[in-house]
Amino acid sequence: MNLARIVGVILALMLTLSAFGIASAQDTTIIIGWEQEPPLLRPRSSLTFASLMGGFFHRDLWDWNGQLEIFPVMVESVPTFENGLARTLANGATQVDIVLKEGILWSDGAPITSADLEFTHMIMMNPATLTAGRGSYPDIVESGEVIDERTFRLTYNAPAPDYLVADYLSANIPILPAHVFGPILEASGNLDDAPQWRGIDYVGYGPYVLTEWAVGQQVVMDKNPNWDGQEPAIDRVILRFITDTAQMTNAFANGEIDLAFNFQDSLVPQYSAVPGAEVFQTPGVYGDAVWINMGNGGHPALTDVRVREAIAHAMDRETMAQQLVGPGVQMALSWFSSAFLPEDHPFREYNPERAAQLLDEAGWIDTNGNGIRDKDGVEMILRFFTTTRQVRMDYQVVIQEQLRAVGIGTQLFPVPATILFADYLERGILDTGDFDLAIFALSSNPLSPYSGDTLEWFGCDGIPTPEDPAGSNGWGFCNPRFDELNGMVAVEVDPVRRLELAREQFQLFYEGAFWHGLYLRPTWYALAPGWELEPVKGVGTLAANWFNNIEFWAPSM
Amino acid sequence: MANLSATQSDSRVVPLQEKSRKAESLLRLALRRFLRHRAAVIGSIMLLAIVLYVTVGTLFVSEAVANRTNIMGKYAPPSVANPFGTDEVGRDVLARTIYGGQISLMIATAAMLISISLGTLVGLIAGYFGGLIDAVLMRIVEALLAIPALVLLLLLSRPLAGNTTEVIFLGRQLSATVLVIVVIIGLTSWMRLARIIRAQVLSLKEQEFVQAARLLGASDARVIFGHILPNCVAPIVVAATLEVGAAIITEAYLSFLGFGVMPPTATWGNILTRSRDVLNQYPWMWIAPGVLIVMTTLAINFIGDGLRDALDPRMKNI
Amino acid sequence: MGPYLLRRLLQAIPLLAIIAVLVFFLIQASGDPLAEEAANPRFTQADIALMRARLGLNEPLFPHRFITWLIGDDWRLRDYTGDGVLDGYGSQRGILRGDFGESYRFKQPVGDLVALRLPNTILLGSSAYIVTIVFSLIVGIYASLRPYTLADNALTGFSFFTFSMPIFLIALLLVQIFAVGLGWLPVQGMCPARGECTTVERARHMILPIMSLSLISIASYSRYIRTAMLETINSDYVRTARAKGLGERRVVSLHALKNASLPLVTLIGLDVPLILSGAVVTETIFGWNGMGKLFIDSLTFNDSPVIVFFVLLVATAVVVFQLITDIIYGWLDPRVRIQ
Repeated sequence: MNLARIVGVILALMLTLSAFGIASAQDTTIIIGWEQEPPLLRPRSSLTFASLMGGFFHRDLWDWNGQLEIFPVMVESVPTFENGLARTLANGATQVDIVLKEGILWSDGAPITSADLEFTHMIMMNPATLTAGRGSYPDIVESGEVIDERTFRLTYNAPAPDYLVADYLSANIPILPAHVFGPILEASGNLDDAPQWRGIDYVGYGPYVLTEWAVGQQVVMDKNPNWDGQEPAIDRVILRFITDTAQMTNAFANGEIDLAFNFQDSLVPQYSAVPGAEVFQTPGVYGDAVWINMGNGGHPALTDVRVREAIAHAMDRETMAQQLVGPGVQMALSWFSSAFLPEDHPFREYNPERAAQLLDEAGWIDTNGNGIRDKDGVEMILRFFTTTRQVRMDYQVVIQEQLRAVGIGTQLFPVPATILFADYLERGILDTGDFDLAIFALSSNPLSPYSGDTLEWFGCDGIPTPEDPAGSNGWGFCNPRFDELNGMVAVEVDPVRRLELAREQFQLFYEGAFWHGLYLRPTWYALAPGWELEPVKGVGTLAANWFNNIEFWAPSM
Repeated sequence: MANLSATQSDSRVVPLQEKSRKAESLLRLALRRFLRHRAAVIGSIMLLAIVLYVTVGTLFVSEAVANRTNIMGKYAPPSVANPFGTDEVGRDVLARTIYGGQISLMIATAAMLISISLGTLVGLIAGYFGGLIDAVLMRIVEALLAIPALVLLLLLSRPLAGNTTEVIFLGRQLSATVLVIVVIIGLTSWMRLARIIRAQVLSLKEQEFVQAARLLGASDARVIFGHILPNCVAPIVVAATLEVGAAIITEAYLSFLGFGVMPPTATWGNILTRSRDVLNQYPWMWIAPGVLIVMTTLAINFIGDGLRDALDPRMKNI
Repeated sequence: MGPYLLRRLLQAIPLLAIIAVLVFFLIQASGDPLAEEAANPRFTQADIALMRARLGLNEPLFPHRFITWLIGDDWRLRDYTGDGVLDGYGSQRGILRGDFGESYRFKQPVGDLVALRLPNTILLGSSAYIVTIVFSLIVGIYASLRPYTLADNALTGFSFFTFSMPIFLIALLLVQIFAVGLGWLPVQGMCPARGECTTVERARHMILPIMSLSLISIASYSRYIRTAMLETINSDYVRTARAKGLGERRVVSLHALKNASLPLVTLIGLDVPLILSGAVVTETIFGWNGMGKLFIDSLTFNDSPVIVFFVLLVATAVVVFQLITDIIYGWLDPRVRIQ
C-alpha cells in the first residue's frame, strides 16, 4: 500500500468538502458568540441568562438608557408622583398604578392585559410557585389588584422609594403570560418544570422570538411579528455557544461569529489582532476589589484600620488597571453605585512610603530582619484568595510583589468560585472568614443608592455564626451607625434627603477601609470586519441589559 | 544492594554471591541491549539535557527573577534580556520554564513513586495471598479501571481543589495544589501495574526457589521482598519510566481543564495552558513550555521502550 | 458457558456498587451546587434556603442524603421549604429502584440529558476509532514489513512524537493551521450556524476533532500492531507458509494478520466502551455536545446526579465489553478455553 496516495486522497477530500462551505448567503443574520449556555430559560437564574432573555424576547415594564434615563416600554407612561400614577397613602406607604400600553400583544398573538400582571405578582409573592430570585419584593409589597383591563395597582406596606428601580413587578422575573403558565401552575402547583423553560412554545414580549434551541450548539431567534416597537434591522440573531475562550477567538478570526462580547480582559489583544475587527468596551458596574477580613477571624493585624489603609496605599491600582485590564478602564471607588457617589469621593493613592509609615505606627515592624513585618512574634503573612478568573490571578501576583515591597507577606490561593462563595454551612471560604485578603466582585444596585441586600453583606447581623449561619458578611464589617443609616435610606422618599443619608453611609463604608476597589470590570465587544453597529456602544451601563436595544442595531455591511 | 543483603545472613553468602554475579552479567547484558537501542540512547541524552536545564539553570537565574513581575513590559518578544520573552504580567518565560520544570519533573517523579509503590504492593499482596484478599483487591482494581482515567482524576481533584495550605519544599513556597496533583496522579495510575505484578507473582509462587524458601520457614515478608520482588524488577522499572512521562502529560491536562497546579507556582502545564488564549499572537509563551513537555515525554517514552527491550524482550505492552 | 456468564455478571455487581458509592461521596464532598446562586445578590438567603431544601441539600449528607440517593424518599416526610417543618412525602425513588434523579442544573431526568448527548459522542468517538484502527493497521503493517528501515524509524519517531503531545496542544494547533490559517475547515461546532446541517457539513465539522483524537491513538495502536506482526512474521508457521511458496501479500493478509489480530481484539475490547465517556478535552475545545462536555460541565457545577449516572454508565459498558471480549477471544482462539 502506498502511504503517499492515501494522504493525497485525504487532502483532496478535504479540499472538496471545504468548497461546499464557502457559499454563504448574504442575509442580515448576526451570529453572536456566547460563552455560557444557560441550562434553562428560567428567569434570571444566572447573570448570563438575564441578559439573554432581557434583551431578545422579553422587555421590562420600563427601562433605562445609557445615561440612566428611564423610559416606558410596556406601560403608557412611567408611574411617578408628578403624573399621579404613584402616590403616598395616609400611612406613608407607596401605591403605584401600572397602566399597560394599548394593544400590545404576546408573541403568540394574545393580548397583554392586567391579568398577566396579576399572575406575575402572584408568582412573585409566593416562592413555592417558581424558583427564582425575588429580592425584597415579597417582604415590602402588601397587595396587588386589577383595576381594569390595562391597569394594575400595587400597594406597598411602607414607603418604597425604589419602586421604579428595584422593587417593581418585573425587576426579578419578566412579566409572565398568564394564559400560558396559568394552566401549568394549576396542574402541578409549580412552574419549575414548565416545558417553556426548555424553549418549547416559548412566549414573550420582545423584538425576537425563539425559533430553535439546539442544545449545546446555538439558539436561533427571528423577528417577532407581534412586536409593536421599533422593527429590528437584523432579521435573525443566532447565539452560538462556544465555551472555550481560545476557540471563541479562533471562531471570530475565522469569520464564524460576527460579535464576541463580555470576554476576559486578557483576550483583548487576541481580538484586536484580527484584521478589520473593531474592539471596544462599555464601562462596567461591577467593581473588582481587594476585600480585607477585618473582623471575622482574619489575621490579627487586619483589625487595625491603619494596616488596612496601608494595604491600599501599597498597591499601584491605577497602573495595574491600565496594564492588566486595558487602557481607559475606570477605577472602582465604592461598592455602591458610582452614579450616586459624591464628585469628591476619596481614593487612597499609591504611596508606599505612607503605607510603610502607617504600618510602623501600628507597631508592625520587621524585628527579625526577614523582610516581613511582625509584632509580638506574629509574622505579617496574609492568606490571599481569589477565583480562577485569569485577570484576578494576574492581579494577585502583582499585588503580592507590591505588598512584599512594604514588608507584607502573602500566600496566594486561587480557588474555584464554588468554593470561595459557598455558604457558611458548606464551609465557604468567605462566609467562614477563613481568609485575610480576597479579590472578587459583588454587584450592587446600579440604579439606586440603596441595595436591598446591603445589610446581608455589611450589616452587624450579617456576620455568619454557627448559631445564625445566614448572612454573608464574611469580612466582619460592623458599624451600628451604618446599619441605622441603611434603614433610613430604605424608606426615605425625598430624593435629596435620601442622597444625603446615603452619602454618609458611603463615607462610613470608605472609612472601614476593608474594601479597596481595583477597577470597574468593563464589557468588551469585538465586532467582525464589515459590520457597523453604532447604537450598541451607547448602552451596556447595566450589566444585565447588554442587548436591550438590539432592535436599534443598524448593520451596514 | 546485593552486598547489603549478603551481610545479613552468612549461611547464604555463597549462593547469593553467585546470584549477584549472575545478576551483574544480566545487568551488563541489559545495558548492552539498551545501548544498542538508538532511540533510547537519544532519549537518555535528551532527558539529561532537560534535567541539566532545570538544575544548572538555577545557577544563572534566581527564583526571584522567575516571579518578578513587570507589568509595563508584558508580552515582550524574545530578546537578550528575556530569551524566551515575557508573559502576561511581564515575568521572564525562560526563568519560569526552569523553575516550573523542576516542579513538573518533581510532580511526575513523586506521582510515579506513589503509583509504583501502590501498584507493586497491591500486586504482591493479591498475588501472594490469593483468596479473599485477592478477590477484594482485584475488585477494587477493576472498579477503578472501569472509570476512564481522566474522569477518575477529575473526580478526585474536585474535593481537594479548595485546599488552602502552602507547602515548603527545598526552601521554596509552593501551592498545596502541587501535593494534591501528586497524590491524585499517583492514586489513579497504579492499577495496571498491580495486575501485571499479580500475574508475575502467581507464576513465581509455583517456582522451586520460592517453594523452597517457604518450606525452609521463611516469613511471608521475607519471601515476598527477598525472593519474589527482585524478580518483578523488570516490569516495575519499565512502568516507572513510562509513568513519569504519562504524569507530565497528565499534569498538563489537569491544568488545561482548570484543575491543575495553581499560580503562583509555575509548572510547564500551567505555563502552556496560560498561553492558549494567545497562541498565534505571542507564540513564545507556548513554544518553550510546549517543546519542553513534548521533549521530556518523548525522551522518557524512548527510554521506556529501550528498557523494555533490554530488560524483558517478551513484554510487549504494559 | 452459562454458569460462567452468570458468575461474571454477579461479580460485576459489587464492582458497580463500589464505583457508585465512591463517586457519590467524592462528588458530594466537592463543593456547593448552589454557590453560583449564593453569590448572586438577586437571590436572598431565603431563596437559597428554599432551593437547597428543594434539592434535599438541607439534610445531612450521611445518612439522610445517602439513604435518599440509595432507596429514595417517597416513603418518608420531607421538609421542602427549608423552614424546619415537614411538608410531605418525597418524590425520589433512589438508584436501587432505578431512579437516578434529576440534574440540579437542568431539572431534567439524567437519562434524558444523556440520551441527547450519547449519539453525538458515539458518532464522533466511533468515527475517530475507525480512523485510528484503519490508519494504525496501515502504518503498523507497513512498518512491520520493512523493520528498522528509514520509513519504519520515521513512522515510529512520528508516532512517539504525537503520543508525547498533550491533546489540547494538537487540537489548538490543528485549528490554527486548517481553520484559522488555511480557512479550509470550521473552528468549532457540530454544524454551521446558518443553513442546513447536511451530512457533508457534519463531516467537515468532524474532521478536526477526529484528527486530534486519532493522531494520539494511532501512535500506540500502530506500534502495537507492528510488534505483534513482527512476532508472527518470524514465527514458524509463517515461515512455512512462505516456504510453501505463497505470495507475500497472502502471507501477510491471511496468516500473519490473522494471528496478530488476537491481541488487538483485547485492546479494542478495553477501549471501545471508553468511547461512551466521550472525549472531555476534545469535545470541550470543539464545542461537540457530547458526554465528555456534559461530564466536565456537571463537575464544575457539582451536579451530582449527572456525574453518578455518567460514571455508572461507562463502568457498566466497560464490564459488558470485557465479557464480550472474553467470549470473542475464546471463539477466535480455541486454546483459550473458558472454564
